[in-house]
Amino acid sequence: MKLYLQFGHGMMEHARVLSKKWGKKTAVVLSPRDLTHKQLTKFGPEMVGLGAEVLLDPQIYIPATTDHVNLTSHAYWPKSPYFSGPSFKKSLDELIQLNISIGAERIIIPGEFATNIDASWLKTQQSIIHDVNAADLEGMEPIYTIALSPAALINVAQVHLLLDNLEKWSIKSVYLILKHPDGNYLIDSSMWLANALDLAAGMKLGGLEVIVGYCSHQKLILAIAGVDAICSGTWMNVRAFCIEKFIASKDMAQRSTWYFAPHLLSEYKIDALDIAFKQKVLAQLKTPASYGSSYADQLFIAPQPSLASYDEQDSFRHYLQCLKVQVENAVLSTYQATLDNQIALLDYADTKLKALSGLGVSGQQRDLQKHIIHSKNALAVLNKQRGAILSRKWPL
Amino acid sequence: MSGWPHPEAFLQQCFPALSQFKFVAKGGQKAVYSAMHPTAGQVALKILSPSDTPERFQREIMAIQMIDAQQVPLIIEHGKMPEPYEGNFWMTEEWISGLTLREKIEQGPISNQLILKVATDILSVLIKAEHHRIVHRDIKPENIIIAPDESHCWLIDFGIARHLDRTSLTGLYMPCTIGYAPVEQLDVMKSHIDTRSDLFSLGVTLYECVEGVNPFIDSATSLGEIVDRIHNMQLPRISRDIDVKGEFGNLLQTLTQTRKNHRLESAEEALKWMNDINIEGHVE
Repeated sequence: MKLYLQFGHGMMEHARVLSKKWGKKTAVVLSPRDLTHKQLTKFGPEMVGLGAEVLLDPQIYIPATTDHVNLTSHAYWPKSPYFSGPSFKKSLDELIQLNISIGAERIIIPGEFATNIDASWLKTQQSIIHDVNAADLEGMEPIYTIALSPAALINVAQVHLLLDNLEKWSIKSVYLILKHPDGNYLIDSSMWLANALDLAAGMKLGGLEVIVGYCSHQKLILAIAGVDAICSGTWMNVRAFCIEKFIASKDMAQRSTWYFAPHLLSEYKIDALDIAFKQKVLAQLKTPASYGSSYADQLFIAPQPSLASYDEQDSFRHYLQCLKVQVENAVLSTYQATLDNQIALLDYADTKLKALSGLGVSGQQRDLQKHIIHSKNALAVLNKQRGAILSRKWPL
Repeated sequence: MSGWPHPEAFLQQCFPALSQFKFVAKGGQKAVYSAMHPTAGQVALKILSPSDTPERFQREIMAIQMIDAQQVPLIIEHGKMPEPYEGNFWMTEEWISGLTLREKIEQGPISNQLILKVATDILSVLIKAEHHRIVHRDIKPENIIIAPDESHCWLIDFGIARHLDRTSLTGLYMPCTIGYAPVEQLDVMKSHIDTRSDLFSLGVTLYECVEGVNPFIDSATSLGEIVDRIHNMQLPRISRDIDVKGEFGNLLQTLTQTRKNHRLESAEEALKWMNDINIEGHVE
């Protein structure tokens, strides 16, 4: 599995720094909401020059209500009802040119955010595919956006309606966007996770490349569905798909500095690390050296964590470095080994988090402890329904 | 035409080239006789009920001829009955002798070797059917014949087979056998029918070979209860290993998933799996 850097606010310098460590394994998904045309066309080729793969998320999910001025000022932004007819074709032409300008070799095709997977939405998707097939993509391979609401994803019939239709669509790659229930950062629904795994596995078994956008470390379990890549970034609104960020009046920034303990699959505020220090268990939260991140070392060297000069920049780079290692190690040589590994990671984190919680060390809303059961439930469901096929066809 | 079976004199008049007519059975929409053919030897003569549609009979013939598999009885001749019985269709088929899989199941435990043989042979038919976009739609123990020496098995009765590129002949209902047909058949989701529907029915049939019962049907008090089980119950894993590595159990679990997207994509994939199982061999 591969990690794409999902761009959001203030991501360019992080990408430059991380790409120096990662080299040609760097891959980015640029965000027109957060970058001007000038920035996109300068930064994209710069990343390509560093050997990175560059994609662009057009972010046309709900064009009728999107009014974020940075996004709607791009030349490709549709001026009238979208996803069919001349408006789509004109927008697609502009989008093709923009993708060429940023040095992309593949183009993410916009897709309507599905409140429900129904005949109308399916017709829209088919219309998009038809228009893209008729367009000259200048040699770029299309990656089709499939963006689903939580209501659509937890509906078994709708998920399978989508899978049935995907068999008939002539597409090879999907940029899968799954909105979390209740807008939460961490997912607390076994059904949502189970259907996410089922959908992704169904797509993979159907021969599609699957890139899942807007992910946090909680979605590492997607490895068991054989997905090709997940995308993650700095702020919460690029680790969990947030439709509101495209609406100016609902775009709210929350700033806080967090520390990611990758082996515990949880994030902590510095205050929680201070408690761990006071309780003499801080070492348990220290990131193992195998993750290759020194961005957070100072937290464990300082007289106490809050006295370290650990800042937002360190926090983001530490998170992404650790996540990259986790992503790259998530898929093992057999399905069973991959499943066992995911369960072992979750079990280990569960045991440790319970013990830490008992000592007053909690990641609050970013502590995975209460969510681990949902991940394990989802893995069990997938294993029952698709385990035998996945095992036989591994690696997908 | 009235009265089944037909009088021998009547049959001799209609089919002068055949001889030694012997009534075998009347099933569904046809009567079956054994007869001697001058070149093919013993054949099965099937005469269609006048109530059935000729289109269906023609499609059955077409399906069998297109599939052209060793495990499907060969059609020798077919045609329409002469006046005054115009409209009644007939065909002669290669004669096959043996017991139905239903009879074998009722006789007692079926050997692991035969179970793997049935799976492999029927999947070989389904691959050919899949190639021609034909779905049998009625795979069940009654429609599988086992040769007396168990060296061969045949899939019979393509009477409700469907060519996926042709117009449905059944309107708003879908013929099937409840207890073996998958959800998409029971729910008359015609556009959802494909080889995976047959794979489900084959999976249930093979499960019954192993366990001696069909859990969808066993102890059910009504058809509604069976339908409900098909919708909401996953077959348990078989209670014993049939092959050395226990892969046959995995294959059956996959074939019998409620949602067709959870099943194997094609008969070809299923046969590849079976071939791997056969290489490892059955449990003695």
